[in-house]
Amino acid sequence: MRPIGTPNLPIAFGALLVLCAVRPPALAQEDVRVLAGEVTDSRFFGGHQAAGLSLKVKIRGDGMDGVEALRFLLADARDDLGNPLLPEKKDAPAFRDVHGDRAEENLSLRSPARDASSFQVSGRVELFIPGRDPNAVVKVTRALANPNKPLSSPSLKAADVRVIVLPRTRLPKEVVGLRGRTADFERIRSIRILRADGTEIRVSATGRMSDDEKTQMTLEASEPVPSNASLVFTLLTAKARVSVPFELKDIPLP
Amino acid sequence: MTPIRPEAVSRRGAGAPLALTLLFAAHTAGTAAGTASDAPAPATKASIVSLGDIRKGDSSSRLEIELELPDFPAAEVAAARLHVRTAVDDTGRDLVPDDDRKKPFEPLRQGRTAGPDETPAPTVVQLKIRNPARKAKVLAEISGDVELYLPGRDPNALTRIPNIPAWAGKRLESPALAASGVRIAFLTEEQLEAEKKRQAEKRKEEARKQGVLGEMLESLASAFLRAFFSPEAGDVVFAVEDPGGRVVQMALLDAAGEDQTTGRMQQQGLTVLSSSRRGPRPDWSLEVRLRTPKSEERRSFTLKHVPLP
Repeated sequence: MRPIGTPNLPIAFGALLVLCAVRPPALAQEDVRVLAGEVTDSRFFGGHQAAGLSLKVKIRGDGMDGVEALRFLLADARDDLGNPLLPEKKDAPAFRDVHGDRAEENLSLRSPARDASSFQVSGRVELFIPGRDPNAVVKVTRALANPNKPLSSPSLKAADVRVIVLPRTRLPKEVVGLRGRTADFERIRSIRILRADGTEIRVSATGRMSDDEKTQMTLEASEPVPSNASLVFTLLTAKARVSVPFELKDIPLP
Repeated sequence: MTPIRPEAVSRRGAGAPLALTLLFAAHTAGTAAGTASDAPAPATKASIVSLGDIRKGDSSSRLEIELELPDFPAAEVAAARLHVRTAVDDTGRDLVPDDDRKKPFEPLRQGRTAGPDETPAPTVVQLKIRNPARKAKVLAEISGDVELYLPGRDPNALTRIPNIPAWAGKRLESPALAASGVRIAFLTEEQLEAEKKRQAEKRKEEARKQGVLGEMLESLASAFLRAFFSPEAGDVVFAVEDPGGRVVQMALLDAAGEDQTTGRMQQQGLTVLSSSRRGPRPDWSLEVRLRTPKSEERRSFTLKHVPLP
């Protein structure tokens, strides 16, 4: 319901996109183009809102076929007066799901100078394409059979991923618990649960507790998980990751 | 109301990053209450709480300013309406919004009344104007009027009609409504259907006068009926005739006087109030807040040389 006092007719404003075409990236075998879209420069003082520059980028091209997730690793960003716009140093962002072939991402930068008129940003977009590496998807059959021991899987071992299943007696029947090194879990993109007949049990919630060393994860399924269930790990292997450089220049500031 | 004495300069917080020069318009003897006069209103103190320059390159871009009015405790002001007369940056760009229609009063969060040893929290109002130029450094000037609704100053500014479900199908009777020239009828489902058909016929007649005929006329009428809102379970619908724009807010109160309104909508001249799916209980009342001459203050404000973020 619309509150009293708001405009009577919601007006759909078409997105006014400033598309900055760029040449295809240097990594020629990947037809992936990063295009600059809507720019929002939010400038504040007082109040509690955070100032910053947001750039919506679109990722297009035939090279997006099979891309399941991506992330942007920014190398440089500055306004036309030379002011650096990269945010404070922080950890590499997590991969984000790509749905279909029309991926978009919002890049968050620091506020440019008020009298700047344009900015530029460069870096790499890292694509996760599990189809490029047969070892990126690892199925461990009867994975719950031997709790408190590392899962027995040559593919997990080859990827140097060591995961231990928690004893089921300590958990509800719908929950699968796992633990291991945090660095290993960083390379696990997703975990699915399969019944013995290969059909998937939906995971309705995932919980994770981590410190620098260890991680404990719970998968809460939509039904009791049978003891003969399999786990399917999707791993962020090196072969399944493709890094594409990009550079966007002379993006006008609104 | 104690007259406000013009002051030359005021600074907001010694440690604030921003020092604002507050100038005050000439204090005139014009009456404040209830007039839509263009005459200058008495000046009030105003300072900026926050300023947001949202720049998107489309029509959702705006400069948002929260103005603090220290002479008016928040607990006393239930609603406000702002009219920006002048807004210009130091490049000369005119920032007065294009849509300069008379806007409705916006309800404000009143907060609690201050205790005996407390400083009352001031009223904060928000205004939106166009974005300054990127090259601009300061807002050279922003000035206008603020109309404040202070229902506590007039017993007639707030009327309650008890046992509201019993009024279904009838026009509400209240001396305060009558004095304000406001007529409110509580529509039954049947009356709402009749009102829909009446409005559709009216649209058809208007279209016919413009030369629309035949099937096109019928399809216009049926499209209008399809677009007409449908109340949800528990919603109550009122036909409000308010030629003077006196109604500030309507609310459903339970037997303890607590506001149970969860949603408000105005469409096609009707006001819909939502509470729960059961709708108002027999002992609930309808509270109508009305602008009256005694419950309104109109003041002018002027700010100059406001640095931009």
